Amino acid sequence: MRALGTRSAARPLALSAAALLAVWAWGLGLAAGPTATSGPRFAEVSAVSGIDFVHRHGGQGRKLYIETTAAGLCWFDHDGDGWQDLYMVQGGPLPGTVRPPGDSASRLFRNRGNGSFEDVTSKAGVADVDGYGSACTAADYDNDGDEDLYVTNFGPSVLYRNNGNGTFSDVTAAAGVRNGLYAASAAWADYDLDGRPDLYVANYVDFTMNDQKYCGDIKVNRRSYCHPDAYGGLPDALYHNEGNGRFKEVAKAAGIWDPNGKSLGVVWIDYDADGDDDLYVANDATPNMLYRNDGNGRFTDVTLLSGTCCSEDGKPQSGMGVDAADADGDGWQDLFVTNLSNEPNELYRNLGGKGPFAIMSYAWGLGEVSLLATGWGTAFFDYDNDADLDLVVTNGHPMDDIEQVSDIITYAQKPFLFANDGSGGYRDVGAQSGPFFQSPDVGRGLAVADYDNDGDLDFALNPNNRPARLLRNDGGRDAGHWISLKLEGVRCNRDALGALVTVTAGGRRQVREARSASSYMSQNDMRLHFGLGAATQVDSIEIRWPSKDRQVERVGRQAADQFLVVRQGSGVVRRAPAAVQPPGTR
Amino acid sequence: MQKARHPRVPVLASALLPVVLLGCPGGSTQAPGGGEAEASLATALAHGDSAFRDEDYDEAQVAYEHALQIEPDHARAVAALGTCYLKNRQVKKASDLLTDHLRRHPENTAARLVLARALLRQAEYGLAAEALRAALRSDPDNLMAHYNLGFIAYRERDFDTALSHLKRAIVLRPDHVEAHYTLGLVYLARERYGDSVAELEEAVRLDPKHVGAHFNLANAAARAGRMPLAEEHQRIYADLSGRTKADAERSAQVKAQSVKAVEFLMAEKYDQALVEYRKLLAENPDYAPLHNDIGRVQLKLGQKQEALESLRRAIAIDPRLSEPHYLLSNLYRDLGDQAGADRELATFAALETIPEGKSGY
Repeated sequence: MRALGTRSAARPLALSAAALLAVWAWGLGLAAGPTATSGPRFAEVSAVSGIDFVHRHGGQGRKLYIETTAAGLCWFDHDGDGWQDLYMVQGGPLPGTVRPPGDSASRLFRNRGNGSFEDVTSKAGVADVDGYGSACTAADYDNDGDEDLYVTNFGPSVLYRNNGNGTFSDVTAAAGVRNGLYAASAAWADYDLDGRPDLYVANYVDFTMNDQKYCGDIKVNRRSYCHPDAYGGLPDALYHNEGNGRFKEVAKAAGIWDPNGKSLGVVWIDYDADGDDDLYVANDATPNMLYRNDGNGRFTDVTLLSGTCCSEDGKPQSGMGVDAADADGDGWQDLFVTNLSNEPNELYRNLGGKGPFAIMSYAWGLGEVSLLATGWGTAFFDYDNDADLDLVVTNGHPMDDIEQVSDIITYAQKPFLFANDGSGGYRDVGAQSGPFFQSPDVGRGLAVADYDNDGDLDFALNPNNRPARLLRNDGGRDAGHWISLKLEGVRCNRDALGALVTVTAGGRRQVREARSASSYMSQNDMRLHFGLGAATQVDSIEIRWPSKDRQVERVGRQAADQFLVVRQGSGVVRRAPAAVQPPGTR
Repeated sequence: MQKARHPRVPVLASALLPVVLLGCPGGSTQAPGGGEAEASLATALAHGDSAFRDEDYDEAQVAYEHALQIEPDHARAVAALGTCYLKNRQVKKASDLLTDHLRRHPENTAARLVLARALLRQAEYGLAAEALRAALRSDPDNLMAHYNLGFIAYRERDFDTALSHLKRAIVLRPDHVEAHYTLGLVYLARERYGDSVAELEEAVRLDPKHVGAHFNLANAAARAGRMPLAEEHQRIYADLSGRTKADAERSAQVKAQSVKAVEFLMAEKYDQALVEYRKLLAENPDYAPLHNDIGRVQLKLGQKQEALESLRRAIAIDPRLSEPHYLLSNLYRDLGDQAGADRELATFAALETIPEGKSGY
């Protein structure tokens, strides 16, 4: 198919005439709606798709702290052909050691558009060979029409500027975004609405390679990975995009200042819907932080007022991954944070953008089930296209010897797939959603995308010291109608990061925010995917663009089941139906 | 990864301690057989109780296991051993022991309560509630059974059941802080903010240092539109949770300035890191972690005597800081002082003990 890139088609059309006709008829509501059967299932397609990446932490028994925290992955369209490519962040070898033969650095997999990927790392020049990688985040920071890539490391991080021809240039030094500390997640957003994406880098702890503390049971000489209490926190970095290819670190000046924080997850979220992005940081063993954007380039710490710092008992937890979305369909974005075992994953319900959030973890069925698990990557996504947001969580303990310490907690753990029942309740449906959900793993990064452009959401994972996994959604498209939006800013930043989109269909309103990274060290497909249930058309699309004038643009009725590109001020400028699956992949 | 315990487990744990320890007789009248067996049993129990009081749960576990070898179904020893297993993170083992025992002795309420606690640790709320209801059948006014059933019902959003059990717990013991606190949470979840504020105010009256009660009182008051009350309890919460402005600012200042030192450490430039730390020390001479950091860098530079002084100084300021004990242990060993090394290592191990219910374990 000709997908929705910003450049000329690089690949032949793959959509048959019959399929086009069917999609056209469906879009007009002439065809019968999808017939749900047993519900979508996720098929593991890593091998068949060519995603043969294996994360290596590089550990050799010393139990160095950095070995157990990484790594992430990013879905982004690096060549603008409309297909989501996949960047996998590598950890090992440990700093100061040689990469063993056969182990790869970080890798970029180009999506061929036929269900398979090819490794284009060398050509692209994004291997980050000198880095011990944590996370990645992609955005068009220079507004030149292609997606750039920032990779965080333990030590100096790297900014790769996209040259627009499938290659990237390392511009870290010139841009001034080296960071240099033990970085975890990072995320782009235009917090001051000057049209240029800025960059937030979450720094974790002050571990250094030559500062290994003894953790474990010294009586039996069992060395384990340390608890984060063993190390001090670090201040995060907020790099303001100066617009000349350079950035300026402004965290403290902007009021984002938590030098003791042990930050792992980050998400930009306009929680008060006032048109500028606020910031939420998930911290490990220190309180999570919520900073309200005051609209003047400064932020106010509203953590205590919001109650999003902690457990229900006011105690800081072990925040790992985070996502933000309107879980209960009331129009306000909620927060979901994954935590360590013996702590529930927390769902903070936004009660209207002011004052405290309500902690709904147990009430909504997400608490008790997560107590024995350690959650990391997570994402709200409507996997069954039924017009509400479900949740996926990848799990796995940080200590590889936890089973010697506890008889109820395991190192590898099963992931969760929580289906939203549409009324504020979640239920783990992993058991009926494919064997993947029954296979324990050491989860870390997780990111969602419709990588096969078929109208339902898939996801990929980067487990710690294990092979990557790609999970294809089979049946999501048949379970409900959908629409996917790619936003193109003109007066705002090109990716429209921070745009708030409201889709009304079948009498139901859904709100999504365009953003870069979230989850744990990872980034989802930036296109906004809306499940529509039985609705065969969208009645209206309202976009509040992230610009100082808070421009609101309304797009009229649209047929369901298509990908749209909406350009600021111009409405829908391109559209395409779902891809037909190539033979042999399904 | 986090330090705090699961919020409810310690409540049940501390309440069960008297159940386990109360009635510790000098000797058991239940022991069958002759006086020798009775004496052995009494000795094992006394040893276990003593170790338990000293929080040496490994030792207590061995003693109670020995007691059960002498008398396999000794009611108090079973409950005590189950508790030790929980303390030592052998949760499943505790469940198996107690379930097996209760099959033969369903009347053992203390064992039933420990089983409920083990099931809570395994996130088996339904089974825990079942165990607690069974305990109530033999002891209808059991305070802990009512409280924990109320807590579980709250978690499972069965608010009517929660209210019933929590109110009963308060009748049985009007100053039960956790019952008032949990009742406040129930009202908060039901959006009965006035009632929630009242119960949480009672909880903080009974325990002015109850972090969770202040945290939720601030929340309930804000949602009730009582902002001055909300702000007052936010302030108290911030103080109690170690985030007073002065402390936070000082710690933040030290941390912010030490980032440069951390960067030097990452680059293995120890001399320059030491210079940075010394600058910080001049402004914060009584900040124990800084002395430890300096000691660690001095060790890297081979300055053993200076490191010795720095680490000792860190311990003198904050004896509970564990790392200098570990570093000192290695240093003493290097210097040929094996006794000193062993002593510091033992202190380090004691400070690093993982408390029951700690996040991640």
